[in-house]
Amino acid sequence: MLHTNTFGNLKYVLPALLVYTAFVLLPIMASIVLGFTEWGGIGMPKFVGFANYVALFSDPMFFKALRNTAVLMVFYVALPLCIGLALAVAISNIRPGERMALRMLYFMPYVMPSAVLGIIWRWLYNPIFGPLNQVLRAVGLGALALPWLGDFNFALPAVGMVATWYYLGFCMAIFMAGLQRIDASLFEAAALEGASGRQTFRYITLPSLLPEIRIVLLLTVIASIKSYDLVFTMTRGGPANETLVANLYMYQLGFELNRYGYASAVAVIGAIFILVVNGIVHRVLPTDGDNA
Amino acid sequence: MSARKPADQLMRAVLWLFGVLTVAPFALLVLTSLKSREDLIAGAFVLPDRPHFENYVSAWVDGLFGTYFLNSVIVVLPVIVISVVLGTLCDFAFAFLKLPGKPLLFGMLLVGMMVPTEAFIIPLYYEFRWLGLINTYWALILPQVGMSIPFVTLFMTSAMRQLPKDLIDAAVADGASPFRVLRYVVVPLLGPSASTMSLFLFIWTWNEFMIPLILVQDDATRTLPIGMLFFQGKYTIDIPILTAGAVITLLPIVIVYFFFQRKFIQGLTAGAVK
Amino acid sequence: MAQDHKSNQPGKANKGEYEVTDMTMKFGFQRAKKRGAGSLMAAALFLALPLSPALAQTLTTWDDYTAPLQTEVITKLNEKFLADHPGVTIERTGRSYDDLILTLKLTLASGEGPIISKANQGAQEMGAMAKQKQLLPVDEYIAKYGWDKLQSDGLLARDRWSDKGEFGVGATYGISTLGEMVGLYYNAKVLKDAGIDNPPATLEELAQDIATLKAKGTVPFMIGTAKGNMSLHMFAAVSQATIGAADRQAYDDLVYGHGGSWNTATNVAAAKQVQDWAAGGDFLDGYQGIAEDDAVQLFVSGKGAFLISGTWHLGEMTGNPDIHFMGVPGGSGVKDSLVVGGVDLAWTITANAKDKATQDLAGEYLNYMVSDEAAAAWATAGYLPAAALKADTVKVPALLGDALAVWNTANAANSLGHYPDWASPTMYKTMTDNLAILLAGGETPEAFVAAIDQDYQAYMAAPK
Repeated sequence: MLHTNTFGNLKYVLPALLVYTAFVLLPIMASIVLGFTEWGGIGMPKFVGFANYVALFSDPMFFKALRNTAVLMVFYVALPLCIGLALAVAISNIRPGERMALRMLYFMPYVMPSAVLGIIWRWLYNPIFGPLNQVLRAVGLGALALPWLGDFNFALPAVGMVATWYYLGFCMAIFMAGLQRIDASLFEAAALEGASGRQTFRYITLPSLLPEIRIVLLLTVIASIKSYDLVFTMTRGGPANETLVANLYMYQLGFELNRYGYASAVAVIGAIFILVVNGIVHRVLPTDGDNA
Repeated sequence: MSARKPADQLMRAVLWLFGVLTVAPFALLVLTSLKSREDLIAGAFVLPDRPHFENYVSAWVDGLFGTYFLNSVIVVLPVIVISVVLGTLCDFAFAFLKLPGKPLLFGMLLVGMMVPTEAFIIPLYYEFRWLGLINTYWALILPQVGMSIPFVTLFMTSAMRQLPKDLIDAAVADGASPFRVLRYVVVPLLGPSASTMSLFLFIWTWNEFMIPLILVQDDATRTLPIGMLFFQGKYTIDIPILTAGAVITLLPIVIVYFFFQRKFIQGLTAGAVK
Repeated sequence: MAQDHKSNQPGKANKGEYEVTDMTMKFGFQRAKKRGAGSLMAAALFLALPLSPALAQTLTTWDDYTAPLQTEVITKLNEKFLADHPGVTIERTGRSYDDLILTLKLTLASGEGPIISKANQGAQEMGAMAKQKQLLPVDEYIAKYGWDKLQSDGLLARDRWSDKGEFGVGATYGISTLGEMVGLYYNAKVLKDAGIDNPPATLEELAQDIATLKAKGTVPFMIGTAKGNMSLHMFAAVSQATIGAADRQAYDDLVYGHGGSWNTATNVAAAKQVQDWAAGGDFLDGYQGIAEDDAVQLFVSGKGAFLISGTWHLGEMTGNPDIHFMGVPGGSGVKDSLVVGGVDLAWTITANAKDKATQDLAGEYLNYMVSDEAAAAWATAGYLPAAALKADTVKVPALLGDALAVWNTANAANSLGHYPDWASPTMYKTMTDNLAILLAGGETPEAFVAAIDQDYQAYMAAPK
């Protein structure tokens, strides 16, 4: 490598690090500090030690928010991963030209702003004016034509399904690329030995795709914590907090109720939650190479 | 490897069906945007007697979409340029140079990638308030550059490491300073990675929701996703205009997507797995 | 009132210092950034900055008029104001209610924003903003222009906040143009088709009518709770309909923060009533998934017999001549039952009106907004003015005539009630959340009332 003096090399990273530190790292640290205070937005924050965190642990809304975040993870992570994987395998038997066309279709939701998608789906889910229920009624499934986003049981899954729709194309694309990577001779050998489709999948495809699975898990978990966008535009946390997620709760506490200290504590816990989940993924699916 | 068995044909049909269903919401969106309010009551799938293009005019004018669109552009371009420039400098150092505390610096950057915007938006808001930059474009550009840096670093550092070593070694042997190596050897080779990264940054920044929501209250400075959100509040009863607004918001992205999707997805999958 | 009632608020001096620093830093930073391509940026954002007090003849106003009819009226009124005030320009932004609530506080907190804005009354909004000196008192202009002759004291009191954070006393921070009431819209044709010739006169008759309608397969109540306040207003209307004007003191005390309990037989009965309606299928099927605006739209297109909501929908409702308005019928034997209502969002002068000239100009704008001329313009469009209308001078749509009858009666009998969510900063959320659960059958009326009372008592107990 280039062995010049090490401190002088800092000048390359300094601009980037400065911007990053000023506008990302410092606020993050400030959030952590704020979590130990009580603050209404004007004047000085009042230091209260761990009082916020203690209060959090007896706050039913907070636990509800955490529970909802966890449930949504299923829709953000597990479902798209499985469906994406299945689609990628299914699609591998199709001609390349068609494959690309299909991939383009499935991937499209991913590039859209999730906020706008939330608005679109809110209209789609509208029990009177929305196409979804109209279709259900037209095919005789009127009993299923529920007021989705207002239903206590189905609001959260309804929001979750939008997330699944959003991410399954993304997962599929990654797995498709991964499949390309696998040595075709492996499959030939398996076919020669008379392995069934299922066995091939389980013993060859799946293990080979471990790097892809890992990255998909990582990215979708990160995304699930950002579920704020979808929930905010679709339900604002309703009905009666059934779709409240950790970050939305934080937003409400801060910007609607002006309890900034408490809100920051919620944010910190949420961030720790995601770091832990990411850590678990790292542990369970170890990797090679220079990914930190 | 494509056996034309009936089961495969069925699978193909199913795949196409779901593919079309996946994009069906967008088709419906366009259809609804061309209807009038009365047409809507008749049914979601009913075709209007004539396309109501005036919905688009209303959305553009009343919805201030022209302004929002311009603002999104004004924000996205600098974010991409600044992030790529700063990121390139930074990643070059990470990839090739000796730095004090490199693992620490790298770790610092990774933290930012995992923490969602919501976690630090409150201090960020007050920071910008203290700086007096609320409601300015800087409030939108600077944090998003900051947030892009970790991704650019991760992505481009490994891309740089995968560049052909001999070219670099040759330059070093010729006595080139690090900066010259960067400028004349590395940068020209970065074309593909940089453009892929730019595509990512374009999409993420264009779609950013939280930062414009909190840091900017002035309609004159708002970006498209936020404009869309409050447009919805104004036009809840006028769904055709609302959907026209949505189409306007989505159109640039769809166009970019159509032209670059192959490259984009390739870059995404390659870079992601690295 | 205190948003975070546990935090300490330093005195006024601090806020003043902060403001000056804010402005200096802002402009200082601009100059520092002028280099190279940065100067283009600086120019762009300098233009994007709200105008400084030097251009005092521009009034930036924010209002919540977004329905087409409303926009028409306010535009016309603004034009007339401009015609009478040459050299003045108005920069108007119309925002949806949600948008206004969210952005007004944020903007004012950061020292920017409009000179004039509509602001929601109540502890969480106007009370909070008054406390942080983000709004200027308008008592001077009340005296100067005689607004207290136009509107009753009961109406003006809703915009009063004292320095100690008490509601209903102290300086006045705004004045409203429109009156508001929550009442019963009914579709006479739908009723007649079901065999009901007259609208119900008492709550008991309403219950009978609902049964009749259901038997005929007509949707009794058109309602949507996914977005908007219909459940809140329904509950408020039903509970206040059983309180007579003579007995209103206890309720007043609650809302004005003087104490009391929400745990009353009246409230429990009202909670039970709305729950029974929901459980009995008297609401539109799927109501939890549609918004207030959707429900209104459906009602105007002829679906549903009754709709409980406010006079802010008068304009849209005039689209269907079969629709009439009346006060929610009182319990039998209740004299002058309370009508939920008050006034619409108040016009306020924000702290951005930094010098006397601007403030006076703002005062003139407000004065025009509450003038007879403006009242007539609103009335003609079908909206209910807060000030007493010079009756014969304006031709009003029939529906507004209904509303005016109710309004005048209520004002005369002092039976204009309240929006219960004004009682505490968190009451709105507590009530709407619990109502959703109540209507879905997830909690008993007793539990519902207990939850509301708990919220209120917590607020009362906390230091302000």
